[in-house]
Amino acid sequence: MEQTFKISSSPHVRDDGTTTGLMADVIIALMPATIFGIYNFGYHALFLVLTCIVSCVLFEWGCQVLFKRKVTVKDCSAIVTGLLLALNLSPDVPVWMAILGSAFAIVIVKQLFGGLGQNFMNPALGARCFLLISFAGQMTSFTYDGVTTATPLAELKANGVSAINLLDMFKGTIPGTIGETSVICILVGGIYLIVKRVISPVIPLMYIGTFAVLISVYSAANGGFDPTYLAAHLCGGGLMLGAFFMATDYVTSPITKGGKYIFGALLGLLTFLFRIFGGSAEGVSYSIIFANLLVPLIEKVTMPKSFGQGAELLKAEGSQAGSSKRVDKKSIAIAVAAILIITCVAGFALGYVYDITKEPIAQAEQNAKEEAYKAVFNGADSFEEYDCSDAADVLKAAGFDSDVIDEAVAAKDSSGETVGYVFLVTSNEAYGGSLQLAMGITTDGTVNGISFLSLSETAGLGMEADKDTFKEQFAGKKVDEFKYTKSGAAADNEIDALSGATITTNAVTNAVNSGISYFKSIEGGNN
Amino acid sequence: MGKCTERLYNGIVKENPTFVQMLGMCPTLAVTSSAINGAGMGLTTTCILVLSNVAISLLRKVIPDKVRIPAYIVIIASFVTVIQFLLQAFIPSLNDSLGIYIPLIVVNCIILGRAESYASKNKVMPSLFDGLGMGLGFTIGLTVIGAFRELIGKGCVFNYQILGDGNLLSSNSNGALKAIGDVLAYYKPITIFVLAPGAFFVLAFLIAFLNKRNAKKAAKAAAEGKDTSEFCRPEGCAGCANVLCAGKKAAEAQAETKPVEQKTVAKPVEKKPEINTEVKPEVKPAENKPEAREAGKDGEA
Repeated sequence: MEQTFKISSSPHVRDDGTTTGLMADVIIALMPATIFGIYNFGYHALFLVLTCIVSCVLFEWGCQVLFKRKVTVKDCSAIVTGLLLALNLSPDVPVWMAILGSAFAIVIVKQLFGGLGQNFMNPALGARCFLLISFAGQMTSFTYDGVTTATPLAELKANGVSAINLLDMFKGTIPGTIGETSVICILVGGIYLIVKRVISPVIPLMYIGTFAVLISVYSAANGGFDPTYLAAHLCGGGLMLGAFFMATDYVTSPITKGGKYIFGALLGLLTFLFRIFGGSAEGVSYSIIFANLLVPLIEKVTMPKSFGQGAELLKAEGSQAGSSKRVDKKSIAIAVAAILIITCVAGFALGYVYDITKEPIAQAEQNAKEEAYKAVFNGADSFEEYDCSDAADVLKAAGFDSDVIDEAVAAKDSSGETVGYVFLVTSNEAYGGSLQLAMGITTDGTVNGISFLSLSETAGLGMEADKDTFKEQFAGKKVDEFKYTKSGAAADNEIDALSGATITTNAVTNAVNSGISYFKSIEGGNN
Repeated sequence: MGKCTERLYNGIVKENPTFVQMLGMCPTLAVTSSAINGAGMGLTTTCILVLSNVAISLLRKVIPDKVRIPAYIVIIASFVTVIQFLLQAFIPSLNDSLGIYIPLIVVNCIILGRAESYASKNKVMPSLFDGLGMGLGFTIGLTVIGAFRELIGKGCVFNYQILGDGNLLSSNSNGALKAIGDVLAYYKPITIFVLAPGAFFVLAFLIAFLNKRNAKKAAKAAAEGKDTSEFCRPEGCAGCANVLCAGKKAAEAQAETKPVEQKTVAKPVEKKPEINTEVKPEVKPAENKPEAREAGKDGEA
């Protein structure tokens, strides 16, 4: 019998669209935002855009040659990745950073996982987050018109709606990353993609819609609904760029219809949480890569079942009944006895070791404390316990909720005169839980120095607090209250924040301030 | 090779807990932010591993099978607590830097895995050396990961500044060495490497590198008709999931050619089982085959 039909595997419906065509459409749609970004930020932005595109294409080509894969540079996907990465960079970043980001996007996120269609998160956003975490300072410093300024979103978070200009945000004449500032340009591109049916409107609309609803509810719950606040959140930061161009990436968004709704809503929720409750003002890129990771799960839940399969699946789940085992009383008795004996022996052994190490442990702790006292008060001859049982009330009254003064000693000079105090302060608002520091303060209120007894922050970021350059900022200053700043300490009471570790800086500064306020209560009482 | 040296080699190279068995990933990812932390954690774990392996091997005939896991946990937890007391008393600085991760050694699956798969079935001396080998293998793994993370993320190794501002070459030497140091000073530390994601990057690249190297060696050995189990997992090619491995391909190719020669002798009915048996001769059945599987099953505690 002669076959009159052709047998082939799916897909059965074919279209003459190609990857190259889709990518070209995305590039066209990104053009308004790109051109506006270059106009807005100048030639360095153009240079960054070109660097990212060229290095992405080169890395893609190099990887494919090295891995002996088919070279698919012509599909333009690397150009889109490079362009999107550049639009997500601050216009001030150095060129090597753009190249490093391109390498991360293409080599690690895309090619190592199998190339186009296999990447588990959006390559451009993966690279942006990589750079943002690695070089927090440079990635979040924005120069606009020759002045380093905060983005409107950061202004909004710090100073409220009065600090921003909505029209500028809509036009895009504000500081920010190269491609995120102009809402109007991004909308033009997004509408082009929707009209050309390159992207479905479901994800952007669900994303922006959920986010808008949550912001409205939040703003209504906090002193009444304010349309300016909502509009500023919608126009500010990378929300529009992310919603139209990055969340809709084919590879990293769900293919099921229900999944797209869930994905969009999840993005809205995450962005809301990051922006309102997070440490930084922006959270779009983290939201998208986080939701990217959940896409396989979303697809698993929303995958349509083929006709008739639903009931069978239910049956299969129900039939897993446990089988009961006979219980042998004798073996249970033996097992119980064995465990009992082992536990008792272990218990006695522990008790014995505890007993012999008790003294050395106490001694080691005492030594550590003495050392800390000396480090923060090297002029003193001896230290005497000081009753600090009233400290809790003093700190509470002064508003230091997360700080506790564990111990206080009075530092005496050789003649027995009190020359100052050392406080051991524990702060419970550090990044890694709690930290304990010793601070010395002389009788005239000058901070003599600080030193850490326990500090378990992130290595390279919060742990930098233990460096002398940070600690010495407190020494020898007589102030009422320390404040930390990110833009270079100018006054005596200002402390340069550790880059990338604002929470640690805040915890340390507050701990020192609580010590100062307790000192004042002591001195006030004595006078 | 004596039994004891074989155990050492097995733990450090062949079944390295970090790079081959992928056990104890929680401390591997969490404490390796610097080389010294990795080494400290590894050595502490080694102490406990040796002690618990010896104790469990001694008690292997006393502990009833049904309650062996709780019994092991009690023994391991006691040793961990003892070690923590000793550290607090005599090396407080190491205790401070390892912090919460010392108590977490209790649930490190390497220790429970070795207890379950080796110490509970073998005599004391081999168990001791098994613990020592595995512990040292873990220490090396952690130290290497820590060194790479520290170097890329902070520009240091063991707290010595190698790259970036103020590195040893540019500040402590002169002439040509200083020039090199000045070039190295341009390096900007990539902070993400000392944070959690960096652990994944470094671990993945190190494992990829080792697998590539082993695959090459295995392919060479297979081409010469030698035993390939030396370079691969103890289950041999038949149980290995790496379909891209050149050694496995070579072994399979050989297995396919052999039955052709024998087919003329064998009955055609036995064709199927024959292919299955033909794959095996390529791999010498490793003596610790069942235990390695069990260790894999225990997974992350």
